[in-house]
Amino acid sequence: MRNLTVKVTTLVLCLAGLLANTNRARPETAWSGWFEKPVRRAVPPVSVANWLRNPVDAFVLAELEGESLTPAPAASPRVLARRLYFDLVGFPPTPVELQEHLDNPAPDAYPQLVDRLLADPRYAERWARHWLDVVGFGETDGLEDDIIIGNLWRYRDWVIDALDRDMPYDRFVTMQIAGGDEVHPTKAWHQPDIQDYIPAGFLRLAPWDLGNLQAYELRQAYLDEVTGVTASVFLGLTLECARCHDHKYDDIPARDYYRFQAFFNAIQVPLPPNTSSKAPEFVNVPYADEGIRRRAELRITSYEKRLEEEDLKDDEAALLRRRIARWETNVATVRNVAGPPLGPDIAPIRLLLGGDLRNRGETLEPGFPSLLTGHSQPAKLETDRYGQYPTRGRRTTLARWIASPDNPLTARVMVNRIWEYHFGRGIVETPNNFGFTDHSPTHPELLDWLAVDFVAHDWSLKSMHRRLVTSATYGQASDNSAVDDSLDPENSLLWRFRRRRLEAEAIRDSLLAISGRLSLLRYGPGVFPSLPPGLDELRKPVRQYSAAWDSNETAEDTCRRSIYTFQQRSLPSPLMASFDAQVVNKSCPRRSVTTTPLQALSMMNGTLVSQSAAALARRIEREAGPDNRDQIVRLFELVFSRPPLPDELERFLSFDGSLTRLARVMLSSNEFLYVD
Amino acid sequence: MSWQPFQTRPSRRDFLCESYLGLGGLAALDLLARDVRATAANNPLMVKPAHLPGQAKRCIFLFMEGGVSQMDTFEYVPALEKLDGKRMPTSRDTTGAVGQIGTGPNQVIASPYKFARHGESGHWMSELFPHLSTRVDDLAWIHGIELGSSNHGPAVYHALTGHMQPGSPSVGSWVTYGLGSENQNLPGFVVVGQGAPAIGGAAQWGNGFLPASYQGTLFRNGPTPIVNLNPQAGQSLDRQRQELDLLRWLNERHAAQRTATSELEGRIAAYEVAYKMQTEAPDLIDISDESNATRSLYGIDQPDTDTFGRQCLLARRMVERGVRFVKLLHRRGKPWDQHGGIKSKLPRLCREVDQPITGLLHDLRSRGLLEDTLVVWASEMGRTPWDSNLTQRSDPGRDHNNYALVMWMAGGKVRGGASYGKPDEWSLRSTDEHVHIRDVHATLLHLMGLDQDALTYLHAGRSERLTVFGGRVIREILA
Repeated sequence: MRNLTVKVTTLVLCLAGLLANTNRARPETAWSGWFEKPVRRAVPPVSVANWLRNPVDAFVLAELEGESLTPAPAASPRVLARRLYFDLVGFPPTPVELQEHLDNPAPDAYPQLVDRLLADPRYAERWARHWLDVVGFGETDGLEDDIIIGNLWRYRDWVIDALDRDMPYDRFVTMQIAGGDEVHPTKAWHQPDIQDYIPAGFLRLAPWDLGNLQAYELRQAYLDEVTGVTASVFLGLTLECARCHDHKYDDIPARDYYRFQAFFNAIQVPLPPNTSSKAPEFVNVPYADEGIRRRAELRITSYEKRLEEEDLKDDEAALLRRRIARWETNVATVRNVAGPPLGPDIAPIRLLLGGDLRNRGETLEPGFPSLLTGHSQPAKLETDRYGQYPTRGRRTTLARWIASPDNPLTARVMVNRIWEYHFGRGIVETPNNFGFTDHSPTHPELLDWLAVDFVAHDWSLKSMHRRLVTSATYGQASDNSAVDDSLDPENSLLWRFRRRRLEAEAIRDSLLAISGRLSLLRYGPGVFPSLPPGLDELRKPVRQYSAAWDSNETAEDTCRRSIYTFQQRSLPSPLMASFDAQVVNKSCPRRSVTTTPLQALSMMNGTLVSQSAAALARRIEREAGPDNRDQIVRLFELVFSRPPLPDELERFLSFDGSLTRLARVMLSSNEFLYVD
Repeated sequence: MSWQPFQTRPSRRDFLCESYLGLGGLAALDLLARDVRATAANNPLMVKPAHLPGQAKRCIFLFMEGGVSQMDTFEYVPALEKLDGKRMPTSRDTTGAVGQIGTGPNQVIASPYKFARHGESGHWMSELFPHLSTRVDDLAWIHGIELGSSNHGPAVYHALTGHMQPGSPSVGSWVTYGLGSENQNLPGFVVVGQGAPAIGGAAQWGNGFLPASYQGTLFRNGPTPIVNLNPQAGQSLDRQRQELDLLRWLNERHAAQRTATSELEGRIAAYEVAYKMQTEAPDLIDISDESNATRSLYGIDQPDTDTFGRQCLLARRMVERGVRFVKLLHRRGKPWDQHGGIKSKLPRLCREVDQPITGLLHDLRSRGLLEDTLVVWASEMGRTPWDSNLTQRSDPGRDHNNYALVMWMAGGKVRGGASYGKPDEWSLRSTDEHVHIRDVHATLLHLMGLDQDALTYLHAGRSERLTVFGGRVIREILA
């Protein structure tokens, strides 16, 4: 009965909202089934069964047949291989890799390629970047002083490592929400594994301001960020809409927002290193790769030695001191972790009327959204057997509930994200919002089928990738002349593959790789690729302890993969930002794709393309010999993964200019930037 | 595996390509630029019709970072004179949530500056703005604006994006998204600073969840006003043209072999626009064609006013050329944050901007530009009547007050001389005619011909807008 009242109230509020804002886009659609546990759907019958490669295709084809659309012909093996390389590892195939694949006579040559790429360490770096977008990864606080939050590169490395090892998604979720909050059912004095603080870096990603705020304001701002991001990342719920008032469109009362928030109120909000008057907690956490510790120690020692022995100019000395500080606080130790408080007290969570800290309502106990559980009872908290740690167990309770096969949203939300990165658009178009939206899901039964499949395969991401990229749906060409595109101009039913522009990271990484300059060094603290000239003022730190974009310590650091670039919120690289890769401030479930003249300027005049073109020309001269014709063939093979057509060869041969200039043209071209 | 030559369809592209090769140079580029304007899919900066007719077409947004002290500049608060040097008489309850930073004696500081009424409107201004006070009847005032935080970081974001956390589109991005830009060879939203870092750096003028076309582009004085504007050393414009011709040929072929190519065509056009920007942008910042009278109007070549004067002149040259939104940042790193230096530092800051801004208003007016150019003076908060950490009685400061921001607007359909918002007798917070920053945003959009409810963007399944909960257009300051 109470539930019904809530629903009616929400409906009334919703209507009132709509009437008040008649001009605003009106949500029309929700797949009401999202809030029930997914069940395995029957694979629908279709007429052209020989097109099917796996059950995914039956769901897609059934929709196409319903609209009298026909799938596109299969992409050529060459096109498909290039697509798969960019999709799974973020680089084009080398000519040798491609030729080996095309020459492979085995009937399962393509699945073999899929397996090889999923086992490639570059896969984890590629897909970790997607996850960092989703969680809103940045390494500085983003506000007044843009202080380095500290140690977040270790969270980034943890994500890469987890994807590399195909950590089951339920565990992946649990460690990020509950790392360091472990309760032991039998041991009396159990200390959680210190290593688990690293994945809990998830709880410390949001921008927040130290400034002059009162402690309680700071704490509330922190709790609001964590509450909102956890709900949208793992559950696809826009819970943050219910912070000030009951949710306008979904059945989420403001009470539920604060009940959810109460799971986090045992977190000790850590201060960034260097800013606390108290000595920070000093924790030594073992590294995935102990080489990083050695590197840190070596660098600290060498900089200290230089400071002692050399007669340095002031700014040189300041740079070295900054580097030492960075290596000491951010690399050699972990001093900034989100952990449970040591004392027994937990500040109660109160309902804040209108989201206003000064307007407190009832005290609330931790509980799950009633939308999903059907009740508003407090959750039963996990505790250790003897109740030694009253402050522990809240996050664990939440994590177990989220990472459960019984949770109706967790698997669906993640599968939808994976689908989106492979196909360019999610089955639910708004991956962070499974509530009421303007768009109906395109293939809801398929998403359910996949969610069940995901859990049945032990929440394995790699199995899910394999399932999707070996489908006939994925293997379609990106053009389909047999279909009148006015029937489905957005291609929402997938009658062809979506041609897509590479993301900024894939562009930069591929430029480095094709020109033979890419460093394969993995893991470690963020690096500082060179910025274009003229940004000197932006590079300076605002305060002594603020982030500064320093010059790189080694030449190799300039050529590391983009995921290792230091993520300074106040200073996104102009090249990356122009290609839609901001340093994320909040969860970014889907990048926009824009075309601007500034991108063209970056390509025409930027150092990266220019240096890459020169290096590529040298590489070609080395590999293809002095003959112009051979050089151009090689150029096409390296950049486009195909030989030139006769007229292309002629046109390029007749160009009055150096190989470097031809290389620059190729690296700026649409065929390089867009993947069929 | 062999490569089939594709059938090439004759298309508009072929025509463009031919005409380009046939005519060469500018004629074809103009044709191309028109073509770019013709399709929204190609060009997100295409001019879009305003929701409301007859409003301003361009905006110059003057941002004074740090929190301008209203009771020393634009708001006459005589009550402070009686309390000078005493404790604030109100308890914390009556001052409400006004930020209290220090734990000191909260000594009231009367303004050391003389105030007088100016113009027909009789608005009070202090002696720190002798130039601007002569144009007071052009300005409409908003007093006692509330923002959500008394910390610079969140307050700056609140004032500039409507949200207190970074990651949302800035006002300039919203306006450019709503109206497009009239000059396709320059960015639609330009930021002119004196060398950041500003608070939040580039996130201050970021596009947030809007497409990257709407992000602010930082312009600097000097030979390279935009990052990557100039060809690399050893590259000439002729050689670059030759490369772009080959690139164009390659891209045309690529598009001809494919369907659904509007994005591909947009990128072909973007290269031509970028090529043209290389000559247009330096021309824009080259002020050698400005008369001496104009230069001195802006205070150029005088020590205190030269830098901001050049920024203001640049702003006029930009709006003249159809740039939609120009944001000027005064100095770097919150210069207006007077926790001390009300006597020693504030006069100089005011001097640096007073004549340049007045010159800008005058110049816009005399060129007939002010009628459709909105000029906005903004900061992220106001200040308190007291100094809570008084260390130097002879040169006191003031604390943050996020309930007391004063802004003014001029130009467009602003009613010059109007005033709205009634702060209490100590200028702590408004007692009547309360204004929230989202009301200001709604008003700014309205003055740019944009309806806050219609200017929405679908993000994460929600229809987002600048004013978040919705603001009230302050009709009292409209003509």
